[in-house]
Order: sequence, then C-alpha cells, then structure tokens
Amino acid sequence: MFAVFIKDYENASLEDFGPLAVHWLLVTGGIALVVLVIGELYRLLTGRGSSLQKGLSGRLSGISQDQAWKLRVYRLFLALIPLALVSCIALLAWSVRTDNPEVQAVRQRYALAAGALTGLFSILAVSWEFLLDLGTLSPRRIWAIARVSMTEAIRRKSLWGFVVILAVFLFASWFIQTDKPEHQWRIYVQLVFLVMTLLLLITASIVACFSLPNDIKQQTIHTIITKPVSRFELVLGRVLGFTLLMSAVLFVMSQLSLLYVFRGIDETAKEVSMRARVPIFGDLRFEELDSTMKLRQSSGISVGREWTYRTYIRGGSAQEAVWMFPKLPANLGKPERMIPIEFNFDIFRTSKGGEEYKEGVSCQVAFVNPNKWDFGRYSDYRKELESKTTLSEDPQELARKFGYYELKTPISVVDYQSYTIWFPSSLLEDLEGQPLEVRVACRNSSQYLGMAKADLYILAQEGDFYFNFMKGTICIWFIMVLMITLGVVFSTYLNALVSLVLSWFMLLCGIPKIRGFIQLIGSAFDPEENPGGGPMESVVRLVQNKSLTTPIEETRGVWILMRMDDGFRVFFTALLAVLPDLGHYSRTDYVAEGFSIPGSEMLMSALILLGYLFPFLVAAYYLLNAREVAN
Amino acid sequence: MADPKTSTADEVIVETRTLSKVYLDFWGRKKKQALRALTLDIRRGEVFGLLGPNGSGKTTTIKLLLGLLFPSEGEATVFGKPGADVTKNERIGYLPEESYLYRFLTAEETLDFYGRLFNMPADVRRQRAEELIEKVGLARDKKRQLKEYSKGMRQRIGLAQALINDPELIILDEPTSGLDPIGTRWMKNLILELKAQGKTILMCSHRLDDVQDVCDRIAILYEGDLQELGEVEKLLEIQEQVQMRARGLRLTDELRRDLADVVKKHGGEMVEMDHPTTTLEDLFLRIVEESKARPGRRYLPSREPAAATGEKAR
Repeated sequence: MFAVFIKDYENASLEDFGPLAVHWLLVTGGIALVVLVIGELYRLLTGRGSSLQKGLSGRLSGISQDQAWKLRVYRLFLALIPLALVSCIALLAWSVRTDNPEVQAVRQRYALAAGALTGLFSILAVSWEFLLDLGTLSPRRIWAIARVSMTEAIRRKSLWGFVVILAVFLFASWFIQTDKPEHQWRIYVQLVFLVMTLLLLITASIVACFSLPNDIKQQTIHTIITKPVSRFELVLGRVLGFTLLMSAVLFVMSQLSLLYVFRGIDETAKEVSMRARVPIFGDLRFEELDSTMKLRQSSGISVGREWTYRTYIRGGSAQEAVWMFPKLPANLGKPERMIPIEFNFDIFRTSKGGEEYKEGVSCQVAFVNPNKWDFGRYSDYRKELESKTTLSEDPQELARKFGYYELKTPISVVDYQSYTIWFPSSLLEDLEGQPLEVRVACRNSSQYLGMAKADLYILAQEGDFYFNFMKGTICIWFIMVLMITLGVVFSTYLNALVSLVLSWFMLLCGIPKIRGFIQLIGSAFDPEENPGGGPMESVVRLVQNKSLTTPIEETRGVWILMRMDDGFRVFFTALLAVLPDLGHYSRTDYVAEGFSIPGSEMLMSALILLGYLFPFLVAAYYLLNAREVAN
Repeated sequence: MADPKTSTADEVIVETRTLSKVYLDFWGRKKKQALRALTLDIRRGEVFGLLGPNGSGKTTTIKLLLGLLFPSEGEATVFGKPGADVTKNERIGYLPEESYLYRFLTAEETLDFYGRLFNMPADVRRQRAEELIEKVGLARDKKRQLKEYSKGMRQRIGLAQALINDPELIILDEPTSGLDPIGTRWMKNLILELKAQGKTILMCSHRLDDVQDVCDRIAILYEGDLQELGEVEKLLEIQEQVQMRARGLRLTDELRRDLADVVKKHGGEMVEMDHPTTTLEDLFLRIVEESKARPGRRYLPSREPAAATGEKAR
C-alpha cells in the first residue's frame, strides 16, 4: 500500500483562529488606514470637503438630524485610530526597555493588541458606510438579480464548455497507464479534480468578468439602477447568482467524476485506496545521546537533497526521531484495542548492492508513556517481553505495567511503501497531560532514514470515502467563489478583459509555489534574511566593489538608495497581503492519498475566504457607487 | 408599488438649481460642457417636454435626475431627494430611448424581474404584469424572448416596465421614437391618460408635433443652455396678432367690448375671440437660428415670454 501524504503546507485549523484574526486585523487594518489617509488627501485636494464632514464617499453629508448619529460614529472611529496607534507605538517602545524576556513578551502582547485595535477602528471607519447600507439591502431584490444572472448564463450558453469534461471521461483512460493498483486511484482523482477545477474556474471567470461590463456597455444597467436598487445589491446579486449556478454544475460534475473513477479503477485499487483516513499528526523532533549518555534534542541530518521536506537520522547510532502526540481524543483508547499507526519513510543509502538492498532497512519503533516509563527499566522490559509468560503475550498488560511498548523485532522498511503497526491502547492510560511518544530508530549502519512530520500518524478512524470526496469538491468550491467574487468586483470599475486578466493573475499568484517564490523575492529585500540587501544595495556594492558582508559607508545618496529597498520590501509585503493564498483551499492531495479532510480546517478555510473577500466587497461598494454608469 | 401622495397641483416634483455637467477626460481635463446652469421646476400633474437638437443636454438632464450621472455643479432633486438617492426611484418610472432590456428574457419574465426590484408581492406582481402586457398590446407575444421583438414591441414592453410600480413621475426619453403613426397615436393617448390619472410626466422628444399635442410646459435647450421655458400655449401665441372668430365682425380692444355688445346687439353669436398661434416647429426653429446667431444663455426666469416675432429682452 502506498499512501504518501506530502504535507508541506500547514493548513490552519480552528485553534489558529485567534492569531489569524489578529494578523488579519493588522494587515487589513493597515491597508484601510492607508486608504483613509489617501482618501482624505484626495477629498481635500479636489475640493470635495473633508471626510469628517461628509464621510469617506461623501454620502454622509446633508443627512437629517435623526440620522446624524451615523456621522458621529464615523468621527468616533476616526478619533480612536490615532489613540490606538499611539498606544501601540508607545507599548512597543516600552517593551524594548526591559531585558526580562517574560516582561518583554507581555508588553509586546499588549502592543499587538493595540495594533489590532488600530486595525479594527480603521476597518470600521473605511467600511462604515458599507455596513450602514448592508442594513438596507433587500434579499428579494438580490435574489431577483441572482435569478436573472443565472438565466443569462444559461440562455447565453455559457455552460456549454463543460461538455469538454465528457471528452475527458471518454478518452482519458487511453492515456492512463499504471503498473500499481494504488497509483490508479491517485491518478484518476487528481485528473478529475484538475479537470473540474479548470473548467469551473474558466467558465466562472468569464461569466463573472463579462456580466457587469456587458450591462454597462449595452446600457441594460440603466433600467435597473433607476429602480430602488442599491448598486451593491447588483454586486451581491451577481455573485450569488453565479455562485449558485456554478455550484449546481460542480455538484453534477463531481457525481459524474465519481462514477467515472469508480468504473475506471480495478477492484484491488478500490480496496487499498478508496479510503478516508482520519490521521492524528504529532510534532516531530530529533534526539540523540550526548557524551554524558543523556538524551538531548538535535536538529536531524541533512543528506544534501535539494528538497528539504525530510530530515534524516543516521542508522546504527543513538539518533532517534520522536513524534509527540500531546492532544489525543479521550475516546481513542476506548474500548481497549490495538491502535494502528501508519508510516512511510525515505531511505538514503550510502552503500548499495547485495541482498540487503532488497530487504530494506531495519527500523525499530517504540511507544512511550513518559509519565510511567523510565529508560532504566529497558532491560526489565526486554526480559519480560522475551519471556513466555502470560504478561509477555498480552501487550495491553505489558504496556500498562511499563508504560512502554516496542515491536519484538524491528520492521524492515523500503522506499515508496507504507506500513501499519499497532500499539496497545493501555499506553494512553495515566498520561497525566504528557504527550504520547513514538520513537523511531534506524538499525542499519551506513544508511539514513528520512522522515517528515506527516510521515507517521495515528490512524484514529476511517472516515466515509464519499463524504470525503465531497469535502474535496467543496474545497474546489471555495476557489470558485473566490474567482467569481474577484471577477465581479474588478468588473465594477474595469472592463471585462482587464478584469479577466487581473482575476487570473491574482489566482495564479496565489498558487503556493508561485506565492512562495514571490515571498522569496520579498525576503531578498530584508537585510536580516539576506545579507547584501535588495537590488539597490546590490547596485551600490557592485559599484563600490564590496562583498556581501562588507559594511557600506552610508552617504546621503547611499542612504536614499537603501531606503528604496525598504520601499520594495513594504511593497512585496503589501502584495502578499493582497494576493490570495490558495494553499488554504486546495485539498486534492487529501482525497487522492485517501486522507480525510478535517472539518475544522474546512471551517477555517471558509472563515479565511470570508476575511479575504470582505475588503474586496467593500471596495466594490465604493467603486460602483462612485461610477457614472451612463458616462 | 408607489404610494399615492396627496398634494397640491403646485407641488414641485422635480427641481434643478444651476445644474451643470462637464464631461472630463481620463486626465481630468474638460472635454465637453453638456449642461450649463439649468434651473427649472416641474410641478405635479403636468406633462413637461424637454426639447433640443442632438447634444443639447436633454438626455444628460434626465440622467442627472435619475442618478446615472453626477452633477459637476448645482443640484437636481426629485421628490426633494438628490438624484443619487435610490429611494426616490420607488416613485419613478423611466423609459430610456432605446429600451435597454435583457433580450434573453420574455415579456412576462421582464416585468416579473422589474416587479421584484420594487419588492412587490408575487400575486400583485403577477396581476400587474398581466394588466400591463394587455395594456401595451403584447398579450400574444408575452412568452417570446425580447430578442425576437420588433423595435415598436420593445418600446411597448419598455413602457410597461416603466409603469410596473404605478409611479407618480414618469420619465420618457423619446417615447415615440421608432413607432409608426398608429403607435405614436397610441403612445400620446397613453400619456394623456396617465396625465388624467394625476401622473407627472417628463418627456424628451425630437418630434415637435408630438410634444405640442401632449405637453403643458416645455423647456428648449441648445448646447447645454436653457433657451426657452414656459407653457406651450403661451409660447406659441403670436401676441401682436389677434384672432377672432365671430360671424361677420372684426376685433379691437374697444371693439372687443363693443363687439361683444354689438354682436349681441346685432343678434350675432360670438364663437371665439383670441390670438392666432404659430406651430411649435416654427418657434423651435426660430429660436435655434437666433441662438446660433447670438450664442449664450437666452432665457432668464424673470423675463416674460416674449412675442414670437419680437426682440427678446437680455
């Protein structure tokens, strides 16, 4: 069986909600603050009056007395922003005045909270008019516009492109050749998910980007805007209509895809691969015995591979890889049973050839309850294990007595192979808050065993395969909603083609590998991360013939050039904040490798999507309200 | 549905005060002055005509009133609310020049859609749509998509959507455009019928005979300036001439008195005694020619409407 789950992207779960929320407030609030400042300057320079009198878009001017509270609340937000900002700066300055790391950490937390409040007030100030109008929106009108959007897409035959998927179903199997049944499932699932995603995104982007501009060009929008329809209802109606329509298409495609996969793979592949494992991942660290024969943490070994996903331990040494499982579900060990653990490791050989190569590398796996186990009792344990007593034959009792369990004989591990072993649930008794440890050591000298955090996991249960497939489909839905919303938002101000190109640009830059590359470029401007600085500093060094680490004399001109690098760094930080992170929504690998997508991660993905789209919706509100549709 | 408002006939429904519109290019430079300091009122219950050659600012004025454009200077209010306020649209019906409707919808679906935009309940919406489809003569074609309709049919369904909410103010941009004589007659009769129901109507048109037939007051625009404003009858009066219709008698002031006595004394029957009128077309063309000769704003609100052939006070 082969189930390699490359989990090189840490998806956010509900536990990360707090830090992510603070991060969102800081980043989005920072952008909102810049918008407020630029907006105010624009209003003053063009003679439109201060936003203190009229609101950000001017719609709070001339309101009646009973509505005056709206302007007062807006001014309150504006007043609170500098208060919170000054508090944040003061607390930051205060935090560096102490050498006590605990005190410093507390002060920094307060400063972070003040920064988050600054962001919150900025966001509220910018979105205040939007929030006020939200209360006046009519669900009936939004639904009417959504219905017309769906009717338009259907009657204009925008959905005919999906017949392409039929071609895939008919002919793709001619090109899929696999020698192992476990590969079939992976390839089929990846194929259908890729085809569904591409077809859906292409169609969704076209209908979303062309709809409003066509309305404006053909002036059909005139007969709508001259009804009691707020312009944002147009935006919401379009987004809702296209989302509902594409959701129906996605559902049909997913069912057809499932049928196609079922019929395409053989029974052996179904048996080994059509699963939805619910894994519990631990935290991985490496340990080795020091000169005083005490265990200390180490960093593992790099064998020089370019892909640094895995770290290695040396065989025949005292190095061990240790997975710590601090939070295990209370019902994991009930009723008493043998709990499965699955793993797959990479082998880096320093010698090859002979029968040994085919037999694999000997690997010892041990399970430890740190609250009960003492390594000094190891010889007693081995003696008991190898004796022919009742206790030695009952792994539950053995583990209960010692708080330790290991395989009688090491397991032989080869590349590209997954293994399952079991440990007694009695090990989980009396942990007293300590994490369960799974310790892995390699017994073959001159060989190295490579592992990553996701390479070993406790198999808590088997989920429902169909439900998991649909969860994977919902993850495609998240990306689809992102595309539709971006398309409609951009088309409120830009023409159709520009909106289409911009939407695809944003989406492609959100692919984790591309986003990672942009992040890498951005880090190049950070002098701490990258000695030698950014491009401007590099130019200076080239001209002055100075190496990366040689200090530069900061003349006025050099100082200006290096500040440009700071500007580039800020630019890339802001760019990364604006670009979506598709890693939050992409879960094809889970389904392809037979792993259940955690519900908490999906919920976080939905919340992250909402948080990402909110500023764009606010922008669409202001853009369409400011637009003269008849000009 | 718009709630009927009780009011006096002098209530001002539409008001513009020094309303101006300048179109700018991408860099903010002035491209065209479409409207210059337009000031006018439209009162409840009247049919008001907005006339002018192409590019005079008629459609711009309408778009400013409806919030499709924003004023460069001045203000435009409808029912006391600014043009950009969408709540005023509850009481407005608008028929654009080209009847820009979704061509992939049928007539029934079109009216259902616009009815939903007014939050009309389903049964009210259905009934109203049926009535209007019947009224505009499209009952046989109500299930056909609008892309199959002729221009005249699209104009009718456009009018139907403008009336879906039973509006108090109806704005018609070239309502008889594209209609044959029968359709034109039908449209004019409908306008008079709406006026009899107490509706206020603002219409733009090039068809001067149509405007003359239905409008109470008119404004004439030329290159963004208001050139003339007043009641149609009074504007078309030729003051220096007297027209009297009487059997066998001629008219002077003194004669008017005497005539009345004389006619009566002589046993005659006074049928009509008034000034003859020219046609609106003649008036319109004359004003355009005078404006070309002397550019700039010609009409001043305080000035009495002058005689057709007399010099205008400036």
